[in-house]
Amino acid sequence: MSKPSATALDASRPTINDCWNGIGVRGDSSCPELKKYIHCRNCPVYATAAVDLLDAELPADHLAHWTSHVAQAKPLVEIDRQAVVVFRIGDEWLALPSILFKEIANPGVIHAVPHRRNGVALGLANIRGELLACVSLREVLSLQAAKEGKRDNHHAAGERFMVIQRDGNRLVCPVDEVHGILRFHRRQQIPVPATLAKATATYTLALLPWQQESSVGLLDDQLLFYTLNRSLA
Amino acid sequence: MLFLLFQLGNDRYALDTGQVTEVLPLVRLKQIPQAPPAVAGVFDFRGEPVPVVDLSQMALGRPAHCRLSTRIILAHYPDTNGEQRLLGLIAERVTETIRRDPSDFVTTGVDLDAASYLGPVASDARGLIQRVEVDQLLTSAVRDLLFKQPVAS
Repeated sequence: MSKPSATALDASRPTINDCWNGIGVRGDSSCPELKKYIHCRNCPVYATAAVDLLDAELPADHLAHWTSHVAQAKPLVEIDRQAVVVFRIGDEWLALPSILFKEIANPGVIHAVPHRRNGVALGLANIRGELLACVSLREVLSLQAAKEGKRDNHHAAGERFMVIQRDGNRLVCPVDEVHGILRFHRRQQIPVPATLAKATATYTLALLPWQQESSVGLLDDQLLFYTLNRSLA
Repeated sequence: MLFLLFQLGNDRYALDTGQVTEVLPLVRLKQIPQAPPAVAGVFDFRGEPVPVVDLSQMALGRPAHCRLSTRIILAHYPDTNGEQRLLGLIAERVTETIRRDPSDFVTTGVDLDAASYLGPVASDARGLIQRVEVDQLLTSAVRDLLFKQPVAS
């Protein structure tokens, strides 16, 4: 490696005793201090040399560079991001904040509970030995079942139980398919069209752009849990 | 507690890092005509004008050396209304921080009216370190000059 040519800048620098290149770890390691410090970077001589380097005169463009640098606004880190789990009920793709999710389980048997058949409360499901209330999002959101032609074995294989929790209430929601996690910035949210008069619209906070032309309805988890808990009471 | 070290002449002084927001390299300052010599000028900090005081000029009567280790310490400074404002302090050899217990600092017994910002001292292998209180740094005349007018937000 060729050394850079000495400039006026280099000349103004204080001379530095680079003992680490001679008797230190980059030289022949004969320095007696090495027994104590193991490596030159732990040695005060090395640290003092670094401080001495900072005692150099300012480089030519230093002032101008830093004056314009500190005048610029600090770039804001985008922290306003949210992660949601995208799932499907019937033909509708919906999303809930991923923070609610405890588990995506394979569908199991739903045990019917006598006198609790109001449509929303489906019964009890066994999730890892724990009996949890099973609720129908389809019923709450008044969604239609997928068209008959679609309900073949291939689609049934996508069915899952979503275990979601909010304020200590854990519920199981059977869905037709779980796509996965979608991350988006708050700016990307599209307001729900005012003309949408379906029950889904009541529970939808915003629409999220997804897979080119389509969009996902982001559900209002607070309102949804309120309704679900009411229907279980 | 973590302290930021700097030098005035050959002596070392310490600032509580809780009062420091940022340490910046030297920048070009806009001079303020007719201001006291300790007021080095004003610079644009992320769109906001921040006044800068040269600690060497204030304490020693000579401007700070133009070196890479001479830096601008941006500190919180309470203005006359008690609101926190930013004040830049040009100090030499701002290259180190130390962690010391506040009780390590003991009073010197010397109390100068002109330098009420000087606090208690602590010692280490290289000698004494004296604490500097940012709140006490400016004389009331300089403080009124720099912070009297409310900054339009």
